[in-house]
Amino acid sequence: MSPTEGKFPLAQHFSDPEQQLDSNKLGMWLFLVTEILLFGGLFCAYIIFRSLHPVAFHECHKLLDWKLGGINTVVLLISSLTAALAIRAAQVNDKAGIKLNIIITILCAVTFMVIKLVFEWPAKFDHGYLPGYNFMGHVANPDQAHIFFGLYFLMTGLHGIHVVIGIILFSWLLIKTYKGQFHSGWWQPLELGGLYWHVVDLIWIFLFPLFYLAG
Amino acid sequence: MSNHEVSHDYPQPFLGLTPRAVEAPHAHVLPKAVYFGVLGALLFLTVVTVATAQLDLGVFNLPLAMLIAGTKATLVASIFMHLYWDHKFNLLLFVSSLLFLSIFVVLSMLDTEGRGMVDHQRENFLPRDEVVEKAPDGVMHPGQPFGATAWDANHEAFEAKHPEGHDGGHAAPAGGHAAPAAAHH
Repeated sequence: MSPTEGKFPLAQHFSDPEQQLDSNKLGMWLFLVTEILLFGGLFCAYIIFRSLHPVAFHECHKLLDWKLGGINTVVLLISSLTAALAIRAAQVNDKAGIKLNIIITILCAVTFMVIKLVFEWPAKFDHGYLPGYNFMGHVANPDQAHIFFGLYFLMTGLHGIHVVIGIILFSWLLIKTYKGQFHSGWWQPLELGGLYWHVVDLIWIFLFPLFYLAG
Repeated sequence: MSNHEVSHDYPQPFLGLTPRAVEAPHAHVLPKAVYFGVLGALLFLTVVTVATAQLDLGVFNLPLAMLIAGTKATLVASIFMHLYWDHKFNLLLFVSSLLFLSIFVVLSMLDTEGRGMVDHQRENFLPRDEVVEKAPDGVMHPGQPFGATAWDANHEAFEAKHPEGHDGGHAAPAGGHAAPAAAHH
């Protein structure tokens, strides 16, 4: 049994473990605030254009596939659960549990991207629903529809990039898990990765009703 | 205080600084049932969102959808992200970002909703949802000038009323501009 088994690695610039944990988590939350403001700016654009063109936006909602959007919502919610369970598994020294939950999280994220990039977006391109300037769809109001689709592709695309970053992040955490670096004494990287992933899920929780569900 | 030999299963030295092994603080562990329960609630609320979107509640559809989304967000933030048991400062940060975002959106909308009310843009303002026909087949094509809108239809009429350059055109603008224009003489 290694002398460091189950122990907390106290970095030299911190005086006690609580300070290290709190500082790291505070830094992560500050970053997450910038993420909220990033997507928030885009939501602001959505809100303004939707209030300017309510009829056009309502019609364009119907052109999106809410079933695929709904499946993607469920997939991300499940991945949020498994990300949280991975942290919990580390807290109770369940090494197999950490691995299983991280793998499921990654698989859910990949499923999300596949549904989006293989089933959703090509179907839009085939109909000529392209972002902004390139819009060629046959709709009643193309002058406003291109705004809707510009926002749709930009916001879901940027969100998709964040999902891919999450896949890379959790793959890195999985490698560290296989090296045995997470246990009841140290699991903060999992916690911080989980926080990032939950914000990605939060953004989708709002993207789904605003784009896919025509009220 | 001695540094233990760093083994392969221990975080490696960072920037040449070796961490030292100490007793870990006690973690706050939630039962698995809590996590699964939250997932159940989130899935249920997703079904509710989709179902209520099929109903026609008029102007209440959007606030209701946002209320449900807000509830889901609260569950994720407070339990999955552990904010309920965390230092309140992190919660303050999170809520503050939403507060500042609200200020950003509200002030922007005060502007966009009030466009054309006090300035001479009224003639050029693209009316809500009015479709301006530009191409015979009603479809925009790449290469077509972006913004083929009411400006194109209206700008000739606007320029006739407000000739280019303010030196010669004082008489033309709507009443509100006559006084400051006269003051420039």
